[in-house]
Amino acid sequence: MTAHAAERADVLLVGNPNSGKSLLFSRLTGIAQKVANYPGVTTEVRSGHAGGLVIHDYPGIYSLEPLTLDERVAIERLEKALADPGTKAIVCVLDATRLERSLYLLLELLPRARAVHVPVIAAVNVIDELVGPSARLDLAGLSASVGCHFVGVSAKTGQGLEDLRAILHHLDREPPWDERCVVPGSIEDRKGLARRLTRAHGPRGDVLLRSQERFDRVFLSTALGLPLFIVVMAILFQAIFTWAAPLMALVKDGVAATGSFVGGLMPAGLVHDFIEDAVFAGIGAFLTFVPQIFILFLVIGALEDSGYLARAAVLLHRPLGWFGLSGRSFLPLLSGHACAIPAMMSARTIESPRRRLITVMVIPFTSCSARLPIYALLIGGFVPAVSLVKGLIGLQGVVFAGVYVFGIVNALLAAAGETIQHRRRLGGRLGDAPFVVELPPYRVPGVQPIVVAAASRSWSFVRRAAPVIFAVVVVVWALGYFPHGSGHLEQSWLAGLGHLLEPVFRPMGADWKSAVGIVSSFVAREVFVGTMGTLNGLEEAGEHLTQLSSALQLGGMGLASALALLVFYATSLQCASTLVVMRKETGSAKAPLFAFVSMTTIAYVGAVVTFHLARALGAT
Amino acid sequence: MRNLAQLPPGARARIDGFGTALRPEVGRRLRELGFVDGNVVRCVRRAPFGGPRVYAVSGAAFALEMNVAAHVLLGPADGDDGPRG
Repeated sequence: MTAHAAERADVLLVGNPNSGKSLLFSRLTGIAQKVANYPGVTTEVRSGHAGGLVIHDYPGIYSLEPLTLDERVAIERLEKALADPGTKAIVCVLDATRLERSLYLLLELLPRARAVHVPVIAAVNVIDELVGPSARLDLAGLSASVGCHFVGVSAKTGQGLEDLRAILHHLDREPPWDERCVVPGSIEDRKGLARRLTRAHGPRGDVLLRSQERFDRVFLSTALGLPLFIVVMAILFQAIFTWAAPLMALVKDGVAATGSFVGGLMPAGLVHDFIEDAVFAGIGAFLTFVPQIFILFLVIGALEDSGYLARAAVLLHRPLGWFGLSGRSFLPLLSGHACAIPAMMSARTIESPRRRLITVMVIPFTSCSARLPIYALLIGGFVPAVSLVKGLIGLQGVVFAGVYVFGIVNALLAAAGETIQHRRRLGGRLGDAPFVVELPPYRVPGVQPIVVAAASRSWSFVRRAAPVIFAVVVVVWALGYFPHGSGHLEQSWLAGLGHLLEPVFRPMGADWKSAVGIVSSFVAREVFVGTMGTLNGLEEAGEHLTQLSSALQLGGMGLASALALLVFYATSLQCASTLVVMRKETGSAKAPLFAFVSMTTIAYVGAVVTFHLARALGAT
Repeated sequence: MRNLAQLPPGARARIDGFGTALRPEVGRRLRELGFVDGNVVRCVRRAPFGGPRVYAVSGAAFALEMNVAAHVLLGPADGDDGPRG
């Protein structure tokens, strides 16, 4: 053992999915975490400090035998860490309400840990839920039978955490385990031992299961489950659109105000323009979305911790299965309506790698909130404001809803198409995981862990997306600024590019200004409205959509061109950050490349068809 | 031989091996989750649209796709393990 290794004291945190392991981790270490990613897989190991110890949170696993590539990477990492002399202990997190199932992993882990003399501590979590006649937990009995430390904890209430810390800080590498406790080798024998231990020392699992089944009778039923699902999804939508809106406006105005303040301190010229219009616009472009993404992660976290997410996946598995997706694909597809990046990140929970890949690739079809201002401009300015059904519904509202439905339908059809492709290429379900999903107990989620998790995930979004969005805004600014400086966009390189590409976009009814808008939004579509405003001599176009749409109409844009642009923006993948994150999430450049080329082609063809169809039907 | 997909909601049965068409890794994972020979499994309920069914085994509940459940074979009669339902 080297001196360096002896100084390090690593603790490996292992446990089943849904065991409350991550919550225990943030309880022990606080918010400062380091995340290690591994190429091509969604496996993440989080590390944080606790006293003199470094705690590593491994992904939730059911056993040490992998089923998917992600699990294999997680288990290989774990085994490597186990053999490392710096590893001081393993904390195996068990769920007190699921003792029999949780004991299996512990029994599988124990012999391997003993072989390298690493002590194992079994942290029996959620002891706060053990109330009532079925609640029995004989930790001393378990400890004597298994031959390792057992400590009861509640990551939610903080109960027992001091005991766990005390044990961790007073461990020696030579473990105090009992030679008589022999762990059997076969799955069946280990399962049998887990059952006998639970019978002798644990709570009555059946009683706990029965109480969860009473809830499932409601949430998983056809008559009540589906309406409740729609209500839950309506709340999610409400949260990401209505509740987030004031926060987003606040951030946007705050960044803009800071930008003009800082810009005001500088003399007019290139540096001033660069700071105010490129740097601060770039920061604003991604910061504006952070509140919405934070709220999205907050709601997802609450749904996850309450146990509802697994039920929703069960409800939707069959209908989504018709399109080759998993029940767990619904959440990423729904999140895509806020932003594709957190949506792709939330696709990690999909059990089947093939279905996850397909989900990630079709997410950009859903109408993200960066498209919202474009929809508002085109629909508000060009679709006639007539009311249908005796003034109850407006035509504009119908078109608006139609664009969203259009996105969802596109995503589902694309998923079905890609599934057929995959089947043809791979000829079956090679290395794929079936839909076998544990239904965790229903729980009231704790506020602090959800906020911590949402903050950590939002930070992960900022880290991944911010540099790309920022760079893109700066590049578009530079192309529009040079060679003649501010106020000469019509003579800029960007305009030159627009004139050059105008023939390409003419079949969909776009003039050179729209061509510039389209080209500049290939890196980030949120710049379209601003670019169109600048090209038409309007500052702050985002605030004055009506003025901009009148300017566009005067410039010769009609309903047919507007509808074509609407179809184009609803379909094309114009977001460099999405491509970058898709590459990271799928582990290869093939998926983003294919998604980009195919979606842009479909968008172009769709826009051309829409333009000519609208013309044929009499639109101008 | 009966399989798990044929077990009606509320009924219990003992597990008696897997069909040969089931991939060995998937069979292994099911055994690790508690679907081992001789264990009593209870069908809790079905999901709408003919979706996955919920099964209780080893003190936990799992939703299984029907095309997976069809590969889990069942013994002839109810088990004597645990309370009868």
